[in-house]
Amino acid sequence: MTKLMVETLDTESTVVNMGPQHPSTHGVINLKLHLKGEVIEAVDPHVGFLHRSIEKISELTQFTGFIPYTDRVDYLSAMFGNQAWCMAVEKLLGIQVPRRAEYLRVIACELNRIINHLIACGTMAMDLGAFTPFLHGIREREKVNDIMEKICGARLNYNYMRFGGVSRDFMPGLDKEILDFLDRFEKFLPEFNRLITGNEIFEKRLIHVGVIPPDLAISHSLGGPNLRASGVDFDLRRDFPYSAYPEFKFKVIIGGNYRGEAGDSFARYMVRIEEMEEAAKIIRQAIAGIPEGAYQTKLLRNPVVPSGEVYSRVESTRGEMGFHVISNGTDTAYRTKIRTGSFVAMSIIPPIAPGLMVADLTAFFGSLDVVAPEVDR
Amino acid sequence: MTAPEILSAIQTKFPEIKLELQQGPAGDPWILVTSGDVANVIRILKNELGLNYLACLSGIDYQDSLGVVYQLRSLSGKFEIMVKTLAPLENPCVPTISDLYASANWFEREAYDLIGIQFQGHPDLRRIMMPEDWVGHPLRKDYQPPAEYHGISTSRPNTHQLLDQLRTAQNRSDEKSKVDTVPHVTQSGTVIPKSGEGQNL
Repeated sequence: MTKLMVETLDTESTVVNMGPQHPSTHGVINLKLHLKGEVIEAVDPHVGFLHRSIEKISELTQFTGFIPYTDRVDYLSAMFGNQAWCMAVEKLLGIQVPRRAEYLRVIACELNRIINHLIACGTMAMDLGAFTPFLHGIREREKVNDIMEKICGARLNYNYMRFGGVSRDFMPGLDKEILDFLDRFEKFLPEFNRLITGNEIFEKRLIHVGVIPPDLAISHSLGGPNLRASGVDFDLRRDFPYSAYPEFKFKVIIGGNYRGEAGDSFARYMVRIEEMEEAAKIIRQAIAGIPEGAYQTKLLRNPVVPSGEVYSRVESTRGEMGFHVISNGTDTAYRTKIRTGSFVAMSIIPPIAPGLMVADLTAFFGSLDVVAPEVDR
Repeated sequence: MTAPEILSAIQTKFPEIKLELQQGPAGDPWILVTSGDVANVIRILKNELGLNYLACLSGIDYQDSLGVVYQLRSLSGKFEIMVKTLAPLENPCVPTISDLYASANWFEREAYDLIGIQFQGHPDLRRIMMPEDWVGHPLRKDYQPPAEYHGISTSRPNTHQLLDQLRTAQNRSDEKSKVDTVPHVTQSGTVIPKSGEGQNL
């Protein structure tokens, strides 16, 4: 009787606004859900609530003065914004970065990758109702924040890199401190996995949910862990080498080797977990082989940049972060376009979400690791 | 493949398409395509040369014309190329490539919103960053922001000026009451009334 009723029970399609203020949208994002019962028929993401016109600010601020603004594009991985911007301007200026500075940049960036993925994995579990793993992640992040404070004087918005190097050299004993953290971190990661990764409920919420096929991932220009989880073997650090990355051995993690299938939410989670291990390996190699020498090329404070166009990109934690910079031969950029991983990750939601339950959308959305300020810039 | 190699690869197969390799005094080279041919050229680049990944699409106001710059990449071949097209200011029409790359849908919406390029054939060309009823395209070089949006001022009040006005008004009323009530004005323009005794500014 009840079964018959469910089959004949027809529900009207309703529109529900998820956000702009919603705990699982990781910032101010509005998802307009067209629902049939609890099943999603269509999603229309509305972004732009955090549009701070950073691209316009770049046209009004001198090249050097814009470095702190690049921190604010993606506040959870500020080093990558710094690096992409500095690489763009260095290419226009035609200057070489000292090798020691490249190593310092790699160490800072990979530390940033670790703490960003800790937050990403922690908040993803939190979206699914597991609060404790997030606190464990935050606890470890605190240790890196202390290290970051010693590297560059700031804990969140680093403003560490300069054209032709970094703002300051490592203080004595800092490499030992980073190695101590890595020892601790390599013990912490199995503990974190025991806590949540192998959890049956957690896995069941993620496996086969929100599967992104590889051709769709490429067509939507996804980057980073989201692209690699779909089984696409691509990493800017390896395939378009920049900075000191060619000198290090590391594995490019791709999805498909875990429970479930390539491209599902669990694969995206696992790729992040394994990338943290790889980042730790890169830092160890960098600290072992860090060369002596200058950490900065001396430049004018506000250099006049020759006119030209350049597109520089780094493998950020959320995929490719690219700066398309146009200079017209002054000390201020003529136009800057910032390409971010979260922006393209948001555009994958409308084709994948239909057919998911609302609760699964939260899992899918969490697995994309979108940061709202990076979407809107 | 480098930029000249890509250029000659297209030219040998399709000699009727007009292409030009350009480069500024610094930075990367790009292939300049007319806005009529750009969708065709990108289709050739994608299907024949395997540039299957649209890394970035930027709209630019060059003041004498509007430009669209595409960053295309081959994930397997490990090479990339910058393609540029220009559209006139009066009627900035560029064919869409959202049928070739799904990511172009949102990229083109952003270029339309902030620069005002009309992408012909785009399935859903509406604003993405600015509110839907916003007037103008904010990243145009000649853009003048409106004074207010739905009654919300788009500029900060000049605090000093505001304070001076209040003082003048205060001095007039003080003639009678002799009670000091100069308010405090915060940076955002909020006026906090103050009624201290014996405090003279």
